[in-house]
Amino acid sequence: MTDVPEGPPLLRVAGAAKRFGAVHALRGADLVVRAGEVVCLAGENGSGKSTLARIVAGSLAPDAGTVELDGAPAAFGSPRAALAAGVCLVSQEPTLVPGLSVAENVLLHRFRGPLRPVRRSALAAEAAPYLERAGLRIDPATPAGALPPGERELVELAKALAAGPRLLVLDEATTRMPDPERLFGVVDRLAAGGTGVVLITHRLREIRRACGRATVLRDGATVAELGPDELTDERLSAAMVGRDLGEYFHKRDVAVGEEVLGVRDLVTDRSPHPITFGVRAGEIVGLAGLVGAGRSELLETLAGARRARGGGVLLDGAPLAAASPRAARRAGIALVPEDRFAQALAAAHSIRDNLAVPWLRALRRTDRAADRERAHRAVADYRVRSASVDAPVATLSGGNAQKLVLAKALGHRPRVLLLDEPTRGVDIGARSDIYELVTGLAAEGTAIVLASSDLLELLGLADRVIVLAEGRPVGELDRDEATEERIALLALGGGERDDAV
Amino acid sequence: MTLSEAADDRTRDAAPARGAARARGAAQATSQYLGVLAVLGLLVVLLAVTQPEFLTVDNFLNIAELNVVLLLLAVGLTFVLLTGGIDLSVGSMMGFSAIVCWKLLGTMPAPLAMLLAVLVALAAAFATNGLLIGRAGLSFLVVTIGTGSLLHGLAQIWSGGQSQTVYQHSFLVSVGTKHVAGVPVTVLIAAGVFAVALVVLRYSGFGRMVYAVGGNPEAARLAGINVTAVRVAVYTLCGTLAGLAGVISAARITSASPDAGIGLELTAGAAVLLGGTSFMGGRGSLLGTLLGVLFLGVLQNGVTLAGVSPFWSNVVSGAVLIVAIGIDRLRTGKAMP
Repeated sequence: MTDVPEGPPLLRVAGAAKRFGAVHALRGADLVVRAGEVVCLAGENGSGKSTLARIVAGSLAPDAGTVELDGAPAAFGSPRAALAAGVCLVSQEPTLVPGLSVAENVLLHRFRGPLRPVRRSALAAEAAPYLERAGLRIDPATPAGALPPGERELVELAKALAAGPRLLVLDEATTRMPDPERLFGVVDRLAAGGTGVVLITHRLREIRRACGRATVLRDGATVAELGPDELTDERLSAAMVGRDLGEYFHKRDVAVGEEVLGVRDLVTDRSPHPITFGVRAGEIVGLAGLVGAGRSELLETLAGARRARGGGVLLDGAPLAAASPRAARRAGIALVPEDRFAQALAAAHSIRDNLAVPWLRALRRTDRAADRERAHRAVADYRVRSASVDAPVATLSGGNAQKLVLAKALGHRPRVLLLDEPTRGVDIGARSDIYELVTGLAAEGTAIVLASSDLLELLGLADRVIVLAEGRPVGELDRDEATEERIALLALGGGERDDAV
Repeated sequence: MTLSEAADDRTRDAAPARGAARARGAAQATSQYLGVLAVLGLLVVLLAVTQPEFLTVDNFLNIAELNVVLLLLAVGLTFVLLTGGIDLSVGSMMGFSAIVCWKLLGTMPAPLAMLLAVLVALAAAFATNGLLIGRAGLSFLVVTIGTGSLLHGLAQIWSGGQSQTVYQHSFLVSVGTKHVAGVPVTVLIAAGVFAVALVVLRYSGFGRMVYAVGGNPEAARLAGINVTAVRVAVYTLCGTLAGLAGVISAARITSASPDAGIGLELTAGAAVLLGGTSFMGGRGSLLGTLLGVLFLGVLQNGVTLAGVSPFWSNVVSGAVLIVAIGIDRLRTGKAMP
């Protein structure tokens, strides 16, 4: 850490801890930001980056630890108090009000009292410079809901600029942005003007481009501080993952069998490009691509949850007309969907009731003893840590909830398993269990499709990796030729050489 | 052998766990309507001490008879609320089926007219709420408000907006007024409907599907449940029970009125919510609903016995409902981050 700028820290977070039910989102996170500095907050999904950001911005109260601004305690009770102190968060989730104009959105925090009149023309004039600085040339009277996703992100940025931030926290702000360089330009200018910036991202290229320094979180704790000379792929990923790939994956050599799943010129409802590939028994095929590349849509189409627009699916060589999740399940295709709590589990229901759902038949008596036995068996087999099978699944940690989703999908012993981000937000221990389970299933002859944003995971598990970009298959890499760089290059459209993750 | 049968075979030997499991399950279900149970108990004790007429068989039969219609509506609404919806058309459906029954009575024997009126209600609920909400995916609030207005209007047109007497149809009147073994026939009907609904909701696959759909519709769909069919079924069931309630109310008061159930949809909804069923779906029980209906019935009865203005019962039931929801929020707020 040689080039750290001198001066009093603008922000100092020490020992921040936060629990959600049984989940320790943070357990001792430290972060220091000086004025005029761009610091990267790096870490895997679920490492606690967003929780820390929300604590800094006053939208969450920490259970323990201190937050200091300019050396004075700054426990903001609300986002409004944080804003007043010049701390501004651009969060991962979109916060624009679709029915309000761009100008109204940008100046939203300035609406103080309900009785103050709002003059639309004045608003537009007031918002214009911030939009300009964010690099957006649009009519400020446009409704925010009418903007394409990339521009919405820039409006979020303009909204942050309008708050006149001394400390700006950007949480995965580049994920949906077509041209991150625009954002980095704004960030550079802000830093030059003395604003401290925290950039949350897991894209190594962006870290190197924009940040002077990186703070790495793992499992809710700060594990590394990397200076400018230490921002290499190896150092960053080693700090984020925390152990060698070798002990992390358990890929066995499996004799692959006949083709089980055949995807032939399949056109999803999201993109016009046909996709063809096959998965053989015992094979794990990886699907790589950026957010929005169409991986989830492809898996959901194969699972019957979306209607295909063309092409077909073969199961054991015979055409499969899986027009519903029900039909796909009957045929032996199981999906572990991307979002556990939105798509796979009823949070308020018990482990037992959640596991019983795939077994329900409308006109059949329910067998509670069987439900209970099934739940006990799943908890033991999949190493789910829970006090009781009657506990609501909302009380489980991310990793345990994900194991439950797997148990639910695997209950009918599927021939084809479709995994969509199976370890997102899952702690290391559970991750290791899940990898072992997946490789074990492959060894038993299950045909597996694995979509993941985690390149290490794809490289460690998959026999082949198919790369998608904007709904189009752009390449296929064998186990021997697949590297992070090659996958990333393809995923980004094969463009800039510097795009290696 | 299907996969689920295979699983059943594998788990047959789980019998020893059954007793303990059942006890725990019952304890868990009870906690959802503990609040209304406590308040009901308090009310019963209070009335038993202060009102000598309260603790009599006649008075209890009276309470039961007066709340048959409310229970039928509340049973149907419990299914709908469990899926995460609501049906605001049940009050109108009552008047609609009562008037349909009155129209049919002129042309056919009473038993047939009553049966047909309920079937008309079933068909109407299926074609409107069932298909529009379940299949077309329209908003249940908008659709059921619309259906309610539509059915109420039709009933008013057919009846000229007037109550129509049905006292000359002796079979109908006897259903509404006769007793069997000292118990009113209407109470027996409601008890039968309640028992069947209880078994269906608790012990059939369909009943558990209702919970699954309310708990997380997307997860239910991906797990292979026909969510559309479940939704269509609950709105159809709810409308059918409202139709039955309309016919029974006509039989009880020997007159069919297009306005018979106006406002009752909210009372019945309050009873369901009092019984611990979640407005968000996925949590609740018919036993809770029964307690909710009983609470409202006993409260009304107590107010009458005590000679207090009957309007006070609305104030008390409203306050209890809000407190119950608040307690529920505190309880589940802790369980769910």
